Amino acid sequence: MAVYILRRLLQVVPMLLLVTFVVFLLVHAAPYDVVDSITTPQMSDETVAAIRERYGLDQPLLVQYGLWLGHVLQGDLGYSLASRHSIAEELAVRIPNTIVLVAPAYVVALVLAVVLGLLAGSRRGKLVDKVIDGLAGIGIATPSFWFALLVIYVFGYVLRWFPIIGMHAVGKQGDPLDFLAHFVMPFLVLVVAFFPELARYVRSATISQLSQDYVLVQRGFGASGGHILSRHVSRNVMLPIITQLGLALPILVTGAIVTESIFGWPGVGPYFLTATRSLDYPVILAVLLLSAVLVIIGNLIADILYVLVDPRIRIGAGS
Amino acid sequence: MTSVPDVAATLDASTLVHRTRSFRSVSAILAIVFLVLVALVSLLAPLLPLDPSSTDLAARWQPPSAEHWFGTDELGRDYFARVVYGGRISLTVGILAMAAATAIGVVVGLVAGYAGGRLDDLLMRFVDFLSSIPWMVLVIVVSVFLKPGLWTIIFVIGAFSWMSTARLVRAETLSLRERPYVGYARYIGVRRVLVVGRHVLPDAAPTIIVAATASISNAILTESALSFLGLGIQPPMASWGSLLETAQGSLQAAPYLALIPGILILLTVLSFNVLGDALRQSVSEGGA
Repeated sequence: MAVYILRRLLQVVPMLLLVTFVVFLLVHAAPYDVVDSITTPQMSDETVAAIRERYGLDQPLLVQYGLWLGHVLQGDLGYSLASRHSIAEELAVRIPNTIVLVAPAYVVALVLAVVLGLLAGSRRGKLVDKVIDGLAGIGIATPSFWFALLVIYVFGYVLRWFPIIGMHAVGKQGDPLDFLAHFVMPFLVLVVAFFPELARYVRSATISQLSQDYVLVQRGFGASGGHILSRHVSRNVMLPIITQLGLALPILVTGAIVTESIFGWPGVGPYFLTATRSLDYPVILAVLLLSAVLVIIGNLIADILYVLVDPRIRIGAGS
Repeated sequence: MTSVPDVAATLDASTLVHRTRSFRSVSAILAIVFLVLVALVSLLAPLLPLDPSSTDLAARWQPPSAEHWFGTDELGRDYFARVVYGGRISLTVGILAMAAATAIGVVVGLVAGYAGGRLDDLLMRFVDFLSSIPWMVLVIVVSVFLKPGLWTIIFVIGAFSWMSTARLVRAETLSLRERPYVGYARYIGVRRVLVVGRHVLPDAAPTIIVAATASISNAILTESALSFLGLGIQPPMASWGSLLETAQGSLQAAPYLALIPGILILLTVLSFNVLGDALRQSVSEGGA
């Protein structure tokens, strides 16, 4: 199995090179470059040329790519054109803010989806199923930003239960209760956004597992429906779900762009959207690079989890 | 083997299928009625006595009344007219982006499925890669490089939402190419393009129609999100999404401005999904 994981790791390297090269080409195609963000109109042409040389912008494309990759590998993602702040430093503050919001929402949505999906799938066609499946269908058709507006109106304006913007009230930076009050509404919106597709997935996986031969055999031996569901079906349904966790990795960073910006949550989303409005290319491409890398790493984790969780693949890969 | 509980289970299953089917057909009929209504109002909007652009600053933020069914907006414009014209744009984007996505998806799916081998691997790897990058990021990055507007948004949505159609069509093609009549056509030397066009494509049509229905829903939702973020439809044009962007500003004063376009997006997308499910159901039953 170690060989399998090693082989998968080696496959990741060319993928990462390809992705970084595409992102680099996009940076290169952009009408501004790093130098434009640090030069001022007062500088002479010679100074600007000297700075260009120092950044290696007079070098051939591939050499420039090498230099750029070197910077990226050292964690240097360049500077924002708008604020002239280091992108890496800004992201180091914003990514944890996003994760704090998205991770609990995803986990709660997943747990709800597994429980309700199994319930609906095992009572196919019954009232419970119709209600759960119907709600999931409505959820899929609901624009999450619109649901966010409704939540803000009801809980923020009418009932005045929760503050409608930000992560902390001014001067209450470390107060956990204040954080929770800000957290509730975006959290709720994200749970509702993540839940429906996961629930539908679990439901249809349950239905297809229940039609398998092993369920028939279990029934033949007189096992109860609950026993089959909890001991056998749920395990087989959980398999693809566990690997989904790897695929959900990019969601941790870019899964709440719209929700964060509606609630003024200081995560990656508003940073990215502000950058797109002011055509701040380095920031946009840094986020693109980040999410592409997370996609690749997430796929890798999913594959490894699959091998670890499913003995059949473990044996198959070993032979 | 046929024990008593088994018979009971079969009986239960058949009534269940029957009940599910009638439940489905009722909701499918409701969906069709709603979609026809929305389509008719959108098509006939210029003939109706509706004026989405005349302003009346004295009558701003009027709640829904007999005169203004959906109230008035921040410039005193009749919101019902704004919503009808917004629906025209939303549906136009949905349908044209669906057409673009379906065209790309069908071509890629047919080529990958019929050619097989390395080309298939290459195309499907590309599809996997594109569909795993968060679409929000992808679409926003591309829309930054283009001038925002109606055609850009159609292009962007079409260009990045064909992957699931390609997957479905490829899977269908893989099974169709093994049919005897396709093998025979190949054997008597019919050109590959003709074999695919005359024998594979028509038989894949039901799958394509189901995929297209899903992609209209997807396109309408994507357009609304992008327009809501100000990256899609630009004023003075409006879609349901951009109406919601404006409504966000006056949420406290005029919540109905936010409520109405959202409900229409929800019902339209839900109807297309219900229709798609019903079509898939009848396709899989007809094929059996």
